Amino acid sequence: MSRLIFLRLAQLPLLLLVIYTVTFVLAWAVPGNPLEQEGRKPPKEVEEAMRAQYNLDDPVAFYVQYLIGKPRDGGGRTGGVLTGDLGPSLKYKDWTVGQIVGDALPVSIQLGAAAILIALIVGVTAGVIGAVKRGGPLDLATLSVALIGISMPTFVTGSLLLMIFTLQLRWLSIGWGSVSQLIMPAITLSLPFAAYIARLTRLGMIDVMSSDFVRTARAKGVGEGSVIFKHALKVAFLPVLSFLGPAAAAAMTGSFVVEKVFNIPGMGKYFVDAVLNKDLFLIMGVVLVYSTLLIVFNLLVDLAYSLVDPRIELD
Amino acid sequence: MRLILPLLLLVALLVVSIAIDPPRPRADLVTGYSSIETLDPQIGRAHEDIEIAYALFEGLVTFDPKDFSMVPGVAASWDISDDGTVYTFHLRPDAKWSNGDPVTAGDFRFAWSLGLTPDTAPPYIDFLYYIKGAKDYYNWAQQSLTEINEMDAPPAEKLAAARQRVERFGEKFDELVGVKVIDDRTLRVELQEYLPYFTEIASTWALFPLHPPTIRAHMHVDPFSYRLRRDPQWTKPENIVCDGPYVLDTWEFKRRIRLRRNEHFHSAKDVNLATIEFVHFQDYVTMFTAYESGELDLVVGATPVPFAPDLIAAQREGKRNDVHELDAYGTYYYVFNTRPTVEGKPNIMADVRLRKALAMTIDKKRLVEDVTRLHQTTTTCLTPIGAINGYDPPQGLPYDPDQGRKLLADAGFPNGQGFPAISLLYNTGGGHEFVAQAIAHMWKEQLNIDVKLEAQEWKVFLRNRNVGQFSVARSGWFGDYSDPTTFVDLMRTGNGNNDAGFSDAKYDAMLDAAAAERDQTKRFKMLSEAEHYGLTVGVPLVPLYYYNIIHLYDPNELTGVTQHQRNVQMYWRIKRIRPE
Repeated sequence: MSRLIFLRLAQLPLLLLVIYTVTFVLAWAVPGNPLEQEGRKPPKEVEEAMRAQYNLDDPVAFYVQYLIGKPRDGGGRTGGVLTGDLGPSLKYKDWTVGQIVGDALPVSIQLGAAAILIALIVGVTAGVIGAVKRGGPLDLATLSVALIGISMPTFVTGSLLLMIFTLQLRWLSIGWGSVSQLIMPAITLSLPFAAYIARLTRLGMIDVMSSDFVRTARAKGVGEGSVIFKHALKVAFLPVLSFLGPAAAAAMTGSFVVEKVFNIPGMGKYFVDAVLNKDLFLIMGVVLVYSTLLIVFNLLVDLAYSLVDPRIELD
Repeated sequence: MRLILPLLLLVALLVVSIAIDPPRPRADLVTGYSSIETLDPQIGRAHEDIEIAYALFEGLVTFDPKDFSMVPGVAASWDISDDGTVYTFHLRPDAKWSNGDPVTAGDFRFAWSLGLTPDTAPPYIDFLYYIKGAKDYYNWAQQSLTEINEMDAPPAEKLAAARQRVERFGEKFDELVGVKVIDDRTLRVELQEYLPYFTEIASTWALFPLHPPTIRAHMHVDPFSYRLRRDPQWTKPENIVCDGPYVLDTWEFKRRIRLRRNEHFHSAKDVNLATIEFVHFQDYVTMFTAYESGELDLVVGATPVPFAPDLIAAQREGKRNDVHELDAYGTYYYVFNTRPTVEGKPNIMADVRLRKALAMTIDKKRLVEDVTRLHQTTTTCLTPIGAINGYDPPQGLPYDPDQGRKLLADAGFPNGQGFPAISLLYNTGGGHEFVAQAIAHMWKEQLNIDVKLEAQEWKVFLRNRNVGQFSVARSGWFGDYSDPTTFVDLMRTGNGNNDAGFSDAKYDAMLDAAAAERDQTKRFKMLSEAEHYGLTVGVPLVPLYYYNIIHLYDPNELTGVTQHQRNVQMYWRIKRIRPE
């Protein structure tokens, strides 16, 4: 167990270096100049001065200095990603990438966590009901809702909610800052995940409910509720758990559409914005933060797996 | 129990993170914005940055948003020498920084001495270059920086030299630049040459003063590049000191900017809205939704929403009185590549007859009525009509398909025969593709020629258009100041924004002659003639229509939102109509 954690953590920097290099090459290869804008162009000498300020005229110096910082007088180096300095934003000149990410990441994490929470509660409940009342009208209903949830894109569900609750009823506002503002985006973002979890739970439950240990439990006279939740669900939950890692990462990082529809100041937009603006530092910073997040989440899921299922040994 | 653990963790995470952001009282005016790049006025560039800069700072001169006339700002009055090249500004005694310090003539000198360096590299440095000797000072600052970088010495020594260089900024500025601080309240500015619109230049963000103690506290010499760096933290609420009608209360990146009245502002009693909140929206449709649900009081420039044509229709039918439409100080046009060769091959568009033929077969009325459906004002000239007092823009080429076909035949392609397919370059999104398709269709219909439509991503498009990798390209220009030169310079040889690569000695001579003319009426007439020559004889571009702008607000609640073509909001002039 501890060996696994150690190994995974040891891999982390190596993986990140590969990601850093690939991102850098791609970002540099994207045509266009980050300082170029529509409208009035500054004189040539000023444009050159701007480029030189950020090492934009020298890819090798940029690559090395962004990673390990610049040499300092009297030895040593200063700045660089390794010390947690993600550099300045080229487009948003008053902010550093660290400030931007630090501001947006908690928002994405909150939204993603809320969505996964809803998805879990709704999905598992629906899945259990479906499995227990298999073939009945409730099962059919949850299956259909799940199908809709999986197939309907979030920008459609989001816009529908917006039209009903914001424009017609005026109950909920868009933006970010209060609990009520979290409701619509979290539900929207949770739907596909909830649907997927419902199907996974239902399948797992159906499988488990007909297995020997469940029959034994029933034969011992254990109550039906206890059979379902204490015995069966515990096993049926395993596929959900393995889905949860990538799902949590996806919910926390991939909410671009939902962020746009509900005007949420999360990370998703920087993923797209930074590339469009060719804001080199921001691209690198966002990608590095995201990749770290993804790797850590997968590690956490593997750990959780061994906690829940004693049959799995991770060594 | 183990199963519930992750759930509990998630709940805890949520509760803790939500507790951080308590809601606050609604500001007197809530509006939206889409992108603020910086609040440092000296390096500001984009429209929204500039509007906030005008709320936070004030220059020597300022403008009345109703008619864009120049009115006293920090300077209560100014004298202009007889030859029009020396301005003496008399600062008002009650001009104060937001911390109570007086705004002095020296604060302008300080700001300009920093702006005119490669260390700061302001995008609107051209506005400072109008001052006598400004360019020489910039060159000195650049050269001294290069010398330090090339010095063969240990870094510590170079750093010491770099610090000395920065200390000499003031002394060198006084030596080279025609700016003299006569006393705290008097500033004399000598211009490089006669410039009839210098008072307007003096009102712009590029010439705003900076509060020296604040900036000094955030300046350091960078030990690697030896440049003077200004820590952008100075624009954060806890640091910024400004001299305009508002001070910065809150700035949460890409969330909200909140301003509150600057009680030290000389006209603070005339500032009606005590607080203004700018809420960030990534998307104009979302901004519109927020406006419709009552979260926003005002949306400036709602034109990007896809249903803008419906808003205009509703306004024209009298169904919505909160839709306000106006012409912008900007022209949408198509630019022709006039360079003799493109990628080493002869450029067919270098033949002016072809450019004319293409220009005369675009039915602009159909474009604005059936394609954009925004009913913009169509135009044949580049400078917006009615935007500059006293300037009468000329008539450009008319819509005349018969003449177009004749010109095409004269150029050797009767009925389009043998005409090679030309490329029409535009950027993706923004509805440009519909205009491009419609125009390509018109050319096919009228001239029987084929056009290759080339959609490119924004940054790629900008570069290709600038270096001349196109035959015809979509373009647009918003004027920077109230003078026709801000438009007609686009066709001048070597202008950085002359994407056509157009070069005509006669046209340049006409502009030079106008620049030397001191009589404003005559000068405008000469410029109008030059514009006419450029658009009908040179034809590097064909103007299509003026951009239009839609503001959304209830006229029974707000007054003072500018309806002028220049479309720069002065937020402190906006008033909320309160029931008695």
